[in-house]
Amino acid sequence: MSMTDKMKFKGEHAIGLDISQDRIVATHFIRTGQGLMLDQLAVREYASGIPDKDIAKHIRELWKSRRFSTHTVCSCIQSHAHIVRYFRYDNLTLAELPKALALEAEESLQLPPEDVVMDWCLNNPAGADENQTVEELSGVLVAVPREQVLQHINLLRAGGVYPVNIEVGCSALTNLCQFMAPSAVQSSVCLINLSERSADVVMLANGESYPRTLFSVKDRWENNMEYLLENIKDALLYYHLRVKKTSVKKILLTGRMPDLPALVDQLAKATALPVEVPDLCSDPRLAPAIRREPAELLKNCNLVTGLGLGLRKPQNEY
Amino acid sequence: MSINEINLARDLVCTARQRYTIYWAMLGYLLIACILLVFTASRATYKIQQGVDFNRQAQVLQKRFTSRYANQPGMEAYAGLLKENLQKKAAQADAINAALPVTMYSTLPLLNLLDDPAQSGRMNKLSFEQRAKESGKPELTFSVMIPEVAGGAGAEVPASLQRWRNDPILAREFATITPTTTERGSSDGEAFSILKYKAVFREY
Repeated sequence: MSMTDKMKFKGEHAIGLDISQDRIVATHFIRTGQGLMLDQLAVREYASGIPDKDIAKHIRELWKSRRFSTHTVCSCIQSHAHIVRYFRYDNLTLAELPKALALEAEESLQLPPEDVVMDWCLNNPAGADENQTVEELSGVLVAVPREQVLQHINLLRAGGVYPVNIEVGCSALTNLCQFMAPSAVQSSVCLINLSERSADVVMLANGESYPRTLFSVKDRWENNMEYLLENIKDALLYYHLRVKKTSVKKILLTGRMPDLPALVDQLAKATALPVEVPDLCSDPRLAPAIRREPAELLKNCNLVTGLGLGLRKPQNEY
Repeated sequence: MSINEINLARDLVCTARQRYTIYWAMLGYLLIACILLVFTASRATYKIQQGVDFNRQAQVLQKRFTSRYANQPGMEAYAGLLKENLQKKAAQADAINAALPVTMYSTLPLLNLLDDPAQSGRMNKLSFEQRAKESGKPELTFSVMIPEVAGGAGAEVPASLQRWRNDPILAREFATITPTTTERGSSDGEAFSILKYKAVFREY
């Protein structure tokens, strides 16, 4: 997309919409003199496990009650079936990369190529000619069964909103981290965002990322703490061995967990890294809108994904 | 592209460029629709206004009619009655027109001049023939009595005749006025001359 086009489409803005197990979080950022600022935050609870048509009804009611200025949304897939995978290929051309990634996605999801939706990003995209062999091509592959993406899009459309971006929790987490602590992205940091039964883990260093999504199928994280700690340790180790770049300096832990301080201690012990829990309300660009929401509604509510989705710029799509 | 630019719906939804095009197309459509709506609304308002004015006028007329023609059952019935009367009158006028001759002759200008005994003498007889025996044209025959004075009546006759002939009103009605006979007579010891004239009407 040319610079002119980017300027032309700059006026378009979208609401970040995170539909998790039992909550809908919608966020709207506006551009001010000081940069982006959270203008509206809306949280709506619903009974867990209700059918899509009822969730769509909740979305419609949320939009009606909050009078959002747009129906364009950026949302994310909350599916156990999706894969978020770091890849690294040696001696491959950029033209060959999509085929290689498509094969990897098919193998991981065990689905025919027409039933897979995938997207990827490169950690070092600059320069290389498409047909020129690159010594090392690394990046992140995201793949989801097409059926689930279509189901999610249909749910959003039934809710009266128009999706322009569908992404995953890891990308939303990276968005928020880049917004709140851009300096941390340049150093080496591990971001962890805990949902009820899933955890997005992203290692960021020098603008490159190594994401991973963990799932606790049997039980909630608070009842499956060992498994969570093991997997985080594995992710850190794998990152250290595979990526072979600067080691992680600290862990930023966000999300919902009844006994978060205990987890912080355990995680610090298990990884031997400092663990911080960033306070969203400490950021003056987020705090006013968050404080406007009723405190009981925000209790045990994970706003991170919703905020990260709200920071997405739809005009980057083409 | 970094991880935060991942989009799984990239091929499933409209691109930014398409959305931009659709946005402006919809805006154009909306603008045209608004213009049409305003135009239609103004036309409708104008027509409604006309209707209201017409209704108001009709009410005023109805009120005026009711106050003026209280005995009439209604404007429409009254209009029918008037039409019927008008048709009757028109039929009568047509009948009269058909009965009347094409040309109307008037003796009034002549009678007006003869009304002055000092100038023209006293009217003695007056007769009208629609179709004269000699000429076959309408003719007026009249006679005047002039008292005899010293010098006789002969001097008077040409003077009054000349005056009649020069009269423009008479000239418009009569083609010719010619003397026919002169008689002498007396009444109550007074002698007088009776001069007869024949006037032929001018035909147009």
